[in-house]
Amino acid sequence: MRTRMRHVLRLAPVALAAVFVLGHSAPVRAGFTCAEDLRGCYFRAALADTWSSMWAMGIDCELDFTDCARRAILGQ
Amino acid sequence: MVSLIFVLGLTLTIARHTAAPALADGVIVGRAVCRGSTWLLTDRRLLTRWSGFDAAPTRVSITGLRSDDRPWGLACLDDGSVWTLGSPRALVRLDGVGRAAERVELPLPRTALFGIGDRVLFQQFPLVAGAAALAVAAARYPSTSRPWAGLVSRGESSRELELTRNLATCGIAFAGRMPCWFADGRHVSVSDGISDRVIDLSTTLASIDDHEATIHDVALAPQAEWILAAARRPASRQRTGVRLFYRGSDDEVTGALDLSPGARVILSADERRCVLLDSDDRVVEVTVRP
Repeated sequence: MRTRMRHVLRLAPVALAAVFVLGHSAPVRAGFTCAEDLRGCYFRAALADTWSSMWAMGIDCELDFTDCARRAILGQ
Repeated sequence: MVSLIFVLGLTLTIARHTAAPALADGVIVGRAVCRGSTWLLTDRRLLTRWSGFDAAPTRVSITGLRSDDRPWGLACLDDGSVWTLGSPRALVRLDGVGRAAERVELPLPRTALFGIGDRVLFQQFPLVAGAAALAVAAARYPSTSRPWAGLVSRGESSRELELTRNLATCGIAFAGRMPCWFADGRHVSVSDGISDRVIDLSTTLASIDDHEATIHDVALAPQAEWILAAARRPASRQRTGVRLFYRGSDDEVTGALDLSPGARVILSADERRCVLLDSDDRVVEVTVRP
């Protein structure tokens, strides 16, 4: 029972990330690729062992997304 | 060829143009203007200095960056030093031969970089909706960071939309005032860091036959502003500067010029002329006449 609970708790961030990201599928001008990469990255971050690691990885996901988006939108 | 289409009181004309195939090889990821020169940084790690029609441009390859660095942004400060973001967590000074001569580690990531006077102007990460979108600091002292009055980060319904819609960029400053705007915005904030005034370009951009026309570049000059508006070319996904607007001291658009081929970036500007780099790698000088 305890193991099962731990398993559920471990999957909770993944589920939350999925709900958060997939629940907001508004079109993004940066293009599909940047957004897809962000979603995949969020999923990987959600699997981190600790909340602090998850947060740090999440920041890196957003920095990568920002880099992708700005090159597509602002690059001249 | 560039053609004159639009007349709104003043006439904008092409005074001269010259081929400059080596000026910006690759996607321009940074532009800085100082001490009479314009610097361009491209994603191929090339740094070019353009100092006018009468001088040959100089170009150097950037060396000394880390293999995983992806340079973005360019700042040229009053002391002549040139800086880029080697990564969101490192500010790098480039010397005259393009060597990474100094690396300042940043406690908080930055995602845009410009220069204003003796300080660097940047967008700090993570984004906080409702907070100033930009901040300034001494290049070598990240802890001196303070908010830059003007653009305010916007909250959105999803994080990816929030990140996209808060992409801020800035143009060419004059007298300590920097024009900045959001990539999808129709307003330009002209700020000295303490207070700002807002230029509403909604009507101006609406004159372009593309409902997604955006601000591509802005240059401030004494008693004048040059605004380059971007739109998508038919059969192309790439946005390019398609119309150049001139605003005089009365804060009204009094001249405009359609550009074909489109313009990539403004190289320099004053109250009577604006120099552009176009998509055919030519330097084009536009002048204003009564």
